[in-house]
Amino acid sequence: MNMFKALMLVLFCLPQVASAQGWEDYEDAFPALPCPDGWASCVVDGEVVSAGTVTDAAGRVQAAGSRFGFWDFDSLPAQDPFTELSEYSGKMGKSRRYAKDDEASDADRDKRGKKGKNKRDRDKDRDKDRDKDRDKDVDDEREDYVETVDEPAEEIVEEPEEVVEEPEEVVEEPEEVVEEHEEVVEEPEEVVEEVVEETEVAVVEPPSETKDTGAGFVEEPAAEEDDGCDDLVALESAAVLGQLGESRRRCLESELSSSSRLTTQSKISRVLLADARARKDRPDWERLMKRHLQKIDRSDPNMCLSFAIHLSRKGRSHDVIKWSEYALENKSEWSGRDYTKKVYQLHRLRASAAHGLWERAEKKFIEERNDANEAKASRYRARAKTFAREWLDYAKASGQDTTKPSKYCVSASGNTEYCPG
Amino acid sequence: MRIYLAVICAVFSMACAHKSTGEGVPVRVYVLDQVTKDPIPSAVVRHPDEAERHRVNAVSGYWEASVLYLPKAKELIFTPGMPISLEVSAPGYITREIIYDIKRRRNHIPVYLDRIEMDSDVIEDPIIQFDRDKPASDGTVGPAN
Repeated sequence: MNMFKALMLVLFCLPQVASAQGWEDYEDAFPALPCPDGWASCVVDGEVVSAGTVTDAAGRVQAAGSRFGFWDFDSLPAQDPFTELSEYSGKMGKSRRYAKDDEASDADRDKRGKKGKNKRDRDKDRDKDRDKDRDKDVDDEREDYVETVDEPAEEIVEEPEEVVEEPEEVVEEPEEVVEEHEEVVEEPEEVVEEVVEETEVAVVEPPSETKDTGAGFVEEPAAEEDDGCDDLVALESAAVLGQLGESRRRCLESELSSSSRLTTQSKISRVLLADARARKDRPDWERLMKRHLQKIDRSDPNMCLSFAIHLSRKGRSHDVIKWSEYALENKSEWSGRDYTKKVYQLHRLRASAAHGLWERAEKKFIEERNDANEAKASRYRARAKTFAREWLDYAKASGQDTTKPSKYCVSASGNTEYCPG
Repeated sequence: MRIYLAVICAVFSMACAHKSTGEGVPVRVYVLDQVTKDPIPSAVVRHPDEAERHRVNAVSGYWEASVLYLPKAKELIFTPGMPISLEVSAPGYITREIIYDIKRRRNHIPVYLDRIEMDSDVIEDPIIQFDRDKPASDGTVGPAN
């Protein structure tokens, strides 16, 4: 029986041996790249795995690339697909290593410290990175570096044979990044020391400009200079608090003047207005609002109303009437309670302003009696009467208080019948 | 007898002459500030049926008349015992209506006006929104879809 089996085996194998051309014809049995990381040869658990065969626990021969045994399904050396790339111990162009190897990196850092960059270069790099570190962007960049290290390694794994010559060049690139990365990692301790030194200097010998304003002044401009003004949404919170700062305001002004789009101008202008309002800088707010309404956009009734209120406080009655009427033109932007309340306010502003103008015209006429002044006083009275009547009508129609509009109306008309309460 | 007749005719003719001129009892209205008690130079007085408004004297602050000319050629002559209604107003003051019974003499009526409180109520400043881009619709509506 045994003889029969041996004979059958010999007969079965003979034709294959006869037609064999080379190892590549038996790739399934003897894979060329058996290692799980794609290399042709590697060390797994202290044993060399290379193109050829391996033996399982029972001593049976298996293909080196097989992950599990054919007979017992036990794991073979090539089982784990996540095995790290085995280190190449042969001679390379330069002595390089990966960032993950912390112990090796410490040794190499010492070497570079002696042989590589001199101190001045390192200081320059440190200064360059210190700003980044201050903004806490270093962490993000560090993650990017890790990604750039990983990527080429994976590419190399997929195409090992073609990379035989290239690895030295390809590997160099990420390692340079790694060098910078390591220096960045090294930074914080030294940066802390330098910041402490700077603050000590500032305390001992403060600049003459900062003496009066205090330490807060020293820090604020530095923070402002770093910030741009492109992201308007991000600036809104600072604007609401009136903390845009001089540099960002200038930046926004230049952006506004350089922009040709009214929508962009409007957005920038609103941020500046919010900042001026929060700072309670009324002249600046008035300038900005006037520019916005006259040159950019006057379709927002809230802005017209706000400007009219501001002007009424300053007693500029003609402008109050003008901007109240612009707001009334766009009152449809409001709705519900907001509508009735604000339209009432606009009528009130307009009637009060007209009444004030009439009062002044009457005084002028009394001081200087002539036909022109009398005609002017009469004209202003008629307008005050009209506006007051419109206010009264709206108050009645919307169910709001008619006391004050009725007073204005009767005062201007001199006739209670014209102004039925 | 002749003397009596002459006196009666004279009195009658005087009465007729007086009536034909339309003159009545003079009524004088002083318009004063309620607080300062000063005359309001820009005040006006008007009868409710009258179209015209009468300015007060800018210095003394009063207006005086004994007859008013109403629409449709009517005259209103002030006579003792007659009630008269007037509207007194001035720019910046609350208008007052008065009804006065005319006396034989010294019809001096002081009218005190209160100022209109211009800014007693503070108007609430509206909130100005930031101008942000509105997100585009999700594309589920419209003729193209």
